[in-house]
Parts: sequence; structure tokens; C-alpha cells
Amino acid sequence: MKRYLLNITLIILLIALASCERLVFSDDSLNDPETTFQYLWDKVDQQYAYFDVKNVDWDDIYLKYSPKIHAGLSDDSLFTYLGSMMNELKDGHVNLFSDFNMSRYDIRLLGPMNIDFRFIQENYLGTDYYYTGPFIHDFIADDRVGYIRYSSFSSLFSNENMLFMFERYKNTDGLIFDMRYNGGGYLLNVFKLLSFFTLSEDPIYKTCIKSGLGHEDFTEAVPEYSTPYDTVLHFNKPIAVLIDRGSYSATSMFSLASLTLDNVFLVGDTTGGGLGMPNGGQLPNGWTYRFSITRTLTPDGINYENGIPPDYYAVLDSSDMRQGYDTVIETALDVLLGR
Amino acid sequence: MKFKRLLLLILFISFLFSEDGFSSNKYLFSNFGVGYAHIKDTGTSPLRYHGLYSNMEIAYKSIGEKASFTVQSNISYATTFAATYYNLNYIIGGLNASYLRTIPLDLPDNLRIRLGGTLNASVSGAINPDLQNATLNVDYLFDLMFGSQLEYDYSLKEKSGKFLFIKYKQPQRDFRAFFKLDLPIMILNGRPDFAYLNPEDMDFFTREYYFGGYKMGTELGVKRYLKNGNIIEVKYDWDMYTSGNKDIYLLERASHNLTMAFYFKLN
Repeated sequence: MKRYLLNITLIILLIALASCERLVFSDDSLNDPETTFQYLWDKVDQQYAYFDVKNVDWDDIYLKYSPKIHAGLSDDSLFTYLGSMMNELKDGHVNLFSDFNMSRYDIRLLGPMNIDFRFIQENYLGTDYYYTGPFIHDFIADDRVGYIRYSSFSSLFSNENMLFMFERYKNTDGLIFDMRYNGGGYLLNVFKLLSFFTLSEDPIYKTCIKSGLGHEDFTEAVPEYSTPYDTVLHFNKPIAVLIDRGSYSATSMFSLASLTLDNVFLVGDTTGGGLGMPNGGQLPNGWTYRFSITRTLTPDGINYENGIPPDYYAVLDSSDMRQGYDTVIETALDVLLGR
Repeated sequence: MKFKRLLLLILFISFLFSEDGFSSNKYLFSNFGVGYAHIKDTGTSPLRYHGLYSNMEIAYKSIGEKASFTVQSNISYATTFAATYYNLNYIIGGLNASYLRTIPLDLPDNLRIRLGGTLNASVSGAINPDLQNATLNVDYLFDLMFGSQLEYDYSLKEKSGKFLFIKYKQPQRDFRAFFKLDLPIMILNGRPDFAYLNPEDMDFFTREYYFGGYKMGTELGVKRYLKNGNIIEVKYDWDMYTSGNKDIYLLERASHNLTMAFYFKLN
């Protein structure tokens, strides 16, 4: 009898203690339109990194959107309002995700469509071009220049891929790296690609991270360095990097880093920017969001979040195209070949 | 070589702490449990994630009448969900050492209370693929817990009977029921800083370290002593942890777990 009494006492004690977590833990958040709106507005207010460059008064945005939010708002309408609010930041790294829609700000539409790859195939590459890893490449301009198309920094490549191309184009007058409409991808690919263009460890940009609730609360800017693949081998001839408004995120990062390299120049249209690291989070209603929480600056402190301007501005010209010329490639060739 | 040194160290510490010296029984302990867990990390989400929990432990235990000593490693995994389809995978790996000493009270021989402490070190990783550069988070936790354990020994007498047409005889079986309660003395938390960004924010040395938070654990179980000296144990354990109000973001997690353990006698 004693034994059973003891066991029952212990079980009751355990259940009582196990329910203690309800007393210690915080309440679960409400899932209603007002709470969700307030949560998202607060998160952006506290963590978004680029209010200054985007010239957005976030308090004004609150006054603009909060009257639209009320209990009973449908998910679709709430999503539309919250998505529009996020798009006020005019930032391609800002999104709201639900199971039925994704809000986005298409930075590419800020500039003209600046690449037609079929046109390049028909007028420059033909059909026998090489595919090496993610790179499409071949000789152009009477074999005087190597043309390399890299369409996404999400595509991984090997050192062997790079070494093969360098060996193939070592006797040319220069390279064209076509990164138009390259929407970005992995930052590690930026460093890997840069490692073949440099012989020394140099600061290529600085990063600071949001560190507090204020719009200007950031950690001290920390420099990031290029690391050479080899201390002897690198491509030291001129390299034209072709860019446009679709060159976003990691591609902008590569463009920014290339500003520190003497033999690399940018041709085309201003990049899309997107130099911050987008971080994700979740709302009380389960939807997820992302926005940038870091600032990336040149080593001397310039913020190019709105896009890195080219050294040589060029956009596709229809009259050039009628004659079989890609204006951007031709501008790059003019510089590379001194035409 | 390293393993041998570690084993020698464990045996030495075990001998040091165990007042009754070689009279204690030494065991290699292994268990596996399944249960339920819920996790909320306001750094990335205001939602509480609920889901399945499982854990495994391997330990060296020295259990005597006057004291018990344990060195244990454990790993647990939870796959949890919020808002139907958002998935958070949570992994915790830890090491701990605990020492419990029997308090000389005027109690019946089969009832004892042990008091002592546990030193824990653990690292936990949360993976939520929907969170971009906050997909992976790592937390570090070091704590010293006050431990108390109530034990009650009992036996079921030899029994014989008939099941259908089969006669059986069940020998006497010896059991120990126990209830363990761990309460915090000191907790050192290593949590992400404001930005909650990885990989920058995952470095051990760039964490936000602070003393605070709250942790608690209970176990209720029964050990059955086998004739060969080994032990089978079934227990229900409940653990909870909150990173407290000093944390920039609040982490709360709790697990309810049913485990089955085997003690293999070493001496």
C-alpha cells in the first residue's frame, strides 16, 4: 500500500512540475492582422540596414499602412499590404513569403534589358562554344579576346574549371566576364573567382552588422580580404566585367571587389546593388520575410547599395543589334583592344 | 591513447568522489528515448515549434549506497513544426558530470535521499531552412545544477501461476523507484547577438555570453535489478530551459521524454 502511495505521490509531483514550464515560459503570440503588421514593422525598424541610402522614413510608412490593417482582413489583402509596405524599401533583398505568394521588388526593371544571350550565340559564339562547369566561353574578336559567360553565382565551379580557361585564353589580349543578369548566389564563389585575379591579400570591402535598435546602430566595419589562389599564377591581362541592373547581390559584391583590382574594369549599366546580407524571420501568422541586416562598403567607406556604376556605360542599342553588334560587348572590346 | 587517459581520469574521479570506495557498483550506461518537445526562439520567430523528440545517452556510472557519480554524453534531436509546414530541426549535444551523496537521515533502509550537483556543457544547433542567413543557429550552454534524488527500493515476491495451460514461476524481482529533481545554481548562456546572422554569428568567441536564464529537469523512473547485476531502467524525464530576460532574444525549450536504459555492470 505504502509503495503505491509513494508512486502516486511521485507521479502527481512530476505532473505538477512538468506543468511548471507553462508558468515560466512566455505567452504565445497572437495571430491577427494587427499583431502581424506591428511585428513586421518593428522588425524592419529595428534591423533593416539601409534606411539612409534608400531615403525611406519608416515612421511615415507606418502612418501610411497601419490604417489599412484591421481584424478580419483576409490573408490575401494582408499579404498585399505587408508586401507593399516592404517594397517601399525598393530593395531586391526584401521579400515576404507565404504559401500563396511572394512579394518582391524587381530591381532589374530599373534599367533596360541589357543582354540577349541568343543574340550573343548567333553573333559571337556560334554553336561550338565550350561549357566548363557553369561557364560558357569561347574566343571572340578574331581570337584576340576570351568571352566567358557566368550567369549565376549560385553555380559552383572548381579550380580546374578556372585553370582550364586561363590556359585556353592565356595568349589573348584580355577577357570579357559577362555577368549581366547574374542575380547573385553564393558569396564564397565571389571570393573564389577573385582569388584567380589577384596575387596578394588586399582589403576588397568592409562589412558592418546591425547591432542595436537604432537605425544607425552598427558594429565596427570589418575589412574582408581577397586571398590569391596562387602567388605566381593569375590572370594579369585586362578583364572587362559586363554588368547591368540585373547584376545583383553577389554579382554586385564581385563588381565592388573588382574596383580594387587594377586590371579589371566594369562595362554596361549600374548594377542592381543588394550588397547587404539578407536575414530571414517569421511572423506571428507563420509567413516568413527577409531583408538586409548588414552594410557593405568599399575599403574607403563608400556605400554602393543602390548599385555600382560602370567604368564604361553601355546599354544595348537596337541599331547596333540590327548590324549584329552587342553594344556592351563592343564597348568592352573597344577598351580591351584599344580600338 | 586519449580514450585510455580519459577512462583512467573517469575512474580516478569516480574513486575520489565515492566515499564507499570500491563498494560501489560501476556501470556502462546506455539509453534511448522518444517523446515530445517544443521550442521557441524569438530571434527568428514568435512561434512555438512543436514536434517529435528523441535522445541517446552513454554514460559511466558509479552507484553506491553512500554516493553516486556519473559522467555522461548525450545527443538529442527534435523535428518540430509551426504553422503546419515550417520545419525547425533542433540538435543538442552535451557532456555532464554529476555527483549525488546520500544524506544520513533517519529513514527506513529502503528509502534514501541523495543530494549533489551536476555540471553540464552543451551545444545546440537549430536549422530552419526558411530563414535565409539565419537558417542555422548555434547556442552554447554551461550550467551547474543542484541535484536531488529520492530512491525507494522494493521487491516483488516470488510468484507462480498458470497462464492458459502453461504453468510459470516468477522469481523475486528487485526494483528501485526514483525521482530526481535538478534546479539551477548557475547558468552561462552563449547566444547570438542582435543581428542573429550566420555564419558570422556562429563563432564560439563572438557569442553574447551572460549568466542568467532558468533550467529545470525531473526524472521519474524505475530500475529493475537483474540476476547478473545488470539493470534495466524505464523513466520519464522532463527538461525545460529558458534563456531569460538578459537575452536579446528569448529562447525557450522543453522536452518530455520516455526512455529505456540499460546498465551493464563493470565490476
